[in-house]
Amino acid sequence: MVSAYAHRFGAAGRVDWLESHQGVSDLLANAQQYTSAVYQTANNAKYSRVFNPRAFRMTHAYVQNGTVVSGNFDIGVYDARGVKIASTGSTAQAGTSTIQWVALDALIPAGWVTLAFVLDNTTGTTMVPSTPVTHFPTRMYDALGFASEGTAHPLPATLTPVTLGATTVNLPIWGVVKRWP
Amino acid sequence: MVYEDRVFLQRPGVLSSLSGIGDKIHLNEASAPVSTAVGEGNRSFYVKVHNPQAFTATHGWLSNGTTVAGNIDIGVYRVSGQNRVERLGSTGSTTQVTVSTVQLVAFGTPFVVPAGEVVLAISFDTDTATIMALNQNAAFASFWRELVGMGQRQPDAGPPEAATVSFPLPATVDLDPMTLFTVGPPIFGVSNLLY
Repeated sequence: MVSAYAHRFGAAGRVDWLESHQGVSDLLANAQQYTSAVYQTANNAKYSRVFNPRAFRMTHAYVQNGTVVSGNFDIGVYDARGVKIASTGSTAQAGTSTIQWVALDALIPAGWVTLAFVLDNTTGTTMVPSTPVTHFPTRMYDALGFASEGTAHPLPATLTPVTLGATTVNLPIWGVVKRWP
Repeated sequence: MVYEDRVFLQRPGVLSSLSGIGDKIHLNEASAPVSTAVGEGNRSFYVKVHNPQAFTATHGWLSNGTTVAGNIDIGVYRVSGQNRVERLGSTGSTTQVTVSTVQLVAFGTPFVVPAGEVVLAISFDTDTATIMALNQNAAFASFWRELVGMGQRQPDAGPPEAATVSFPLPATVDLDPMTLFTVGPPIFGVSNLLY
């Protein structure tokens, strides 16, 4: 794994790096941890809207794999209108308990962008926040600008987001970055 | 650079009662957030937050506790004077439903939350209604309200030009010092949802 959990969730001052859970630390109370968890619904895409303080040219997308890998995922980035900027395309999930990098060259504009992730099965695992329900209850993710889309593998050209629903959601930790140096 | 940091630290299109204070206030927690009864009906609560970017608010929300009762109202105000705030928009009276979940309430007319200093507000008409609140340790519990900048409104207090009711959220409010929620800040907010 890369760095301290709290740092990854806040990402204060870091540039050229967008991650699915950035900015949620204000509402995540103590006992912040992460754990390996299965993907809850096959082919159901997860969306996370984040703020990009400055445009940058990304070099890689990534996902934090859990203890079991399976099938194929797709990672993408959408602009503020929900139009796809770039995506990895269907990629075999490989490497347990590590970050899996996928090279992807694209210009990410400043402002509101939406990160997308989808896995095509419910056997593969990713790292997810393991905060108890009392810390981060059902539908808090909806309130924070997360969403989903029913059948979206590979990722669509345009988002059609809907609610994550009234179930506790294992939301993977994924992102895009300009790797440097 | 300071501005950019503030923007980057928050979710875009999201303001909560904890916006911008997580790195400070989480250090003082005694445990996970706890379900907390409002204690007195017809009370409204207000917290000043910094909004780094204007956005259109589509929903108000609160983290319901283990008991739901009566009605809630969630809104946004702007500061218009010393301890005085004016309403920009609110959900209106809405039945509190579903325990231990985040209840999202659509604004009848979405409205723009301006950048800068704004005030989030929530009101309850029933004393037994509960909301999740941070559980501050004893040493911090006595003064967190002043640090966070949180006030409340009694149903019948204040000068005649102020609203004389506190539920639903009044158009104009003169704030009183906070006395309820000694445990810690209640968790609520407004958002622009992705869908």
